Amino acid sequence: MTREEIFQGMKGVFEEVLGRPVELHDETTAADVDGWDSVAHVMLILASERRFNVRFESSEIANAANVGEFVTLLESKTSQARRPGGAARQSAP
Amino acid sequence: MYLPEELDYISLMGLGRDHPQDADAARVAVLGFCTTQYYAAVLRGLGRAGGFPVVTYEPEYNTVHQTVLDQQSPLYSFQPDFVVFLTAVQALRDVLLSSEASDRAQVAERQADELVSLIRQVARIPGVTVVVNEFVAPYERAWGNFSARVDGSLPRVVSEINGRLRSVAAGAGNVYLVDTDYIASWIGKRFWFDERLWFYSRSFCHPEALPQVAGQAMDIFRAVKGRGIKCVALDLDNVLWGGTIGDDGLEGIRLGELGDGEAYVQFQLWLKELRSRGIILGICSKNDEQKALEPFRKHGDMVLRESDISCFIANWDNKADNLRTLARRLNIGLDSVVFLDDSPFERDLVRELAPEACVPELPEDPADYVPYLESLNLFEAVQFSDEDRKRADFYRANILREDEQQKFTSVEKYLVGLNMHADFERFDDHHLPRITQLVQRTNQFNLTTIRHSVAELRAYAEDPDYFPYYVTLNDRFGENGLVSVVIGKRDGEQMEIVTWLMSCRVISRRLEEFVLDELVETAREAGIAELRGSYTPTEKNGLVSKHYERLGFLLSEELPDGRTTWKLTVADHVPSGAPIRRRVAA
Repeated sequence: MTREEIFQGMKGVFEEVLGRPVELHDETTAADVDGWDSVAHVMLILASERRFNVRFESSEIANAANVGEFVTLLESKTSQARRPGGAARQSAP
Repeated sequence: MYLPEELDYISLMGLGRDHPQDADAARVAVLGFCTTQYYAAVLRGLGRAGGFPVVTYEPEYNTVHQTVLDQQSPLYSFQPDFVVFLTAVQALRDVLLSSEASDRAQVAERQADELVSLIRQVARIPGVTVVVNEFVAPYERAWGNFSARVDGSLPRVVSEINGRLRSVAAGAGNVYLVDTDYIASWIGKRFWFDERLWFYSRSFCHPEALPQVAGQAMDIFRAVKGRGIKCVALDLDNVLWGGTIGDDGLEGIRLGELGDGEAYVQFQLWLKELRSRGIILGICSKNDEQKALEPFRKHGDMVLRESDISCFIANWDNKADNLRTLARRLNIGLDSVVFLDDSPFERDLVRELAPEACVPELPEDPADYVPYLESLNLFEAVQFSDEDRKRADFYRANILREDEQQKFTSVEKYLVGLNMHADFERFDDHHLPRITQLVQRTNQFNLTTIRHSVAELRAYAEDPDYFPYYVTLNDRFGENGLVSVVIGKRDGEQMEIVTWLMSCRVISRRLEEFVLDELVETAREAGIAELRGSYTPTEKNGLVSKHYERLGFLLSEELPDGRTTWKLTVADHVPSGAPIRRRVAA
């Protein structure tokens, strides 16, 4: 998955969680987006786990400070997830 | 309440982002020993999607004790209809495991005492219903399978606290529990517990499970408000048996040991159990009536018999119309009917033309019917009495009565032929559960719709200034049970009729006239000169807007909010001659 594909996917995640289209750049932080509070942050993590079939480590949850870091993290995870034993969270039935 | 599957937690949180503006939205306070925002948003989303809007109040994180103990806190000015306690086994674990092994028993007891006292305190809010999530049994077992036998172990403590919660609920009358462990097991605890989310955001479960957890609280709200499911309307072919009775005949349908026949037997047993707890069973099938009845009468493997079905409709009309007929004949709202049909066409037609009815999907494989329907928790109960046990019989007898009525030319003659007898007695402890149920649930024949609490009703029974009466009715078709409640209050030489309500299953029987005769007699004996009644309009009680006028009361006042007040001079009252005789108490 290319960085651009992940970036577009993240836009979808933001829309899903915030319920409206948002303009995103690599430098966009929580302070720039109305509604990106701590509750929405957890939802963004969980929704992107579901969309990209990956799992964030505890240490990573709080660390994604801007959109670019989020995308970089997902980039490394999606390439891991393709390897056998990659850590994707299965969805509950 | 059935909701389309595409409503997952993220879309529900979206739907619940804002509080609804509806004036009649239920007011729900969410008190949690964890984060409450996710739960509250999902709850609001469910309310919006399911036509039961809720506004929520949540205190600041980790302030449940202060909020409950401070009578000036926003919890009390919020005037909640419902208070939900969210428990978190993770929080209990953190306290318990960080205490000395020798103190464990004491620590556990203090935790339980505190929780119980908070629940009791909140349950005293007038008109409130409290819903408590039980603790989920933990996945940590320091002693392995032996853990539950060890005093002070986390699994043992959790099961003891849950035991305490159950006794509080059993003793309270307005406290209900959500069996959270059932939900967690059903979903799978591997998915339920997500420690990352506990550490980062104090979430007691993965939010994916929230639609289930909040949904079951919502099911309890609906049941408390009398908006639960009362009736299952069933298709026949490929629902109660495999195959088509019209084509395959009595020997050809699959039921019992033939093919997938055992799955249909299990489904029927499940339905029979629902019937015995008071859910009405009806048939709504495209079939020739005589053919449709044949398996009920002649098939050796049928669990359900004709007498288990309160209303049997088999014809070739469209099912939406037939469902309306069924609801009308049973005198229940279409929104309290769940319709089960294996045909996607029929399901869609009913969803389109009778949108009030609840129409879940039905799996392809009959072996999946029961597990799937159980996962929807359609039949929440908030109490269970003998009255409920007999309810399906009452409704069946009602339909028989109606059939009989069609044979009579005059209604009056028919009523006389019913040979009706009634009790008119002061409240007593034995009848209090059913009285409470009627007071909480009756919407249509209810003049003031005041929802007195159990405690209030009990107090009236002992107060000489109150005239609290219940009415039962029986006739030659059997008992109708406790069907009417009237509560008068002395005000000098006058009696204010605070509450007058009646179950819709005995409408048009002149029972209200009998009740008035008895009430007037009671008033006369107590030296009362005048009865005063009032009608407070609601969305559902238009039926009784002329109640007092019909009974010969005089209008005294018409208020701007639509309320009307009425009076009747005791000395002027002429006995109605309603064909109902009062039974003399044994």
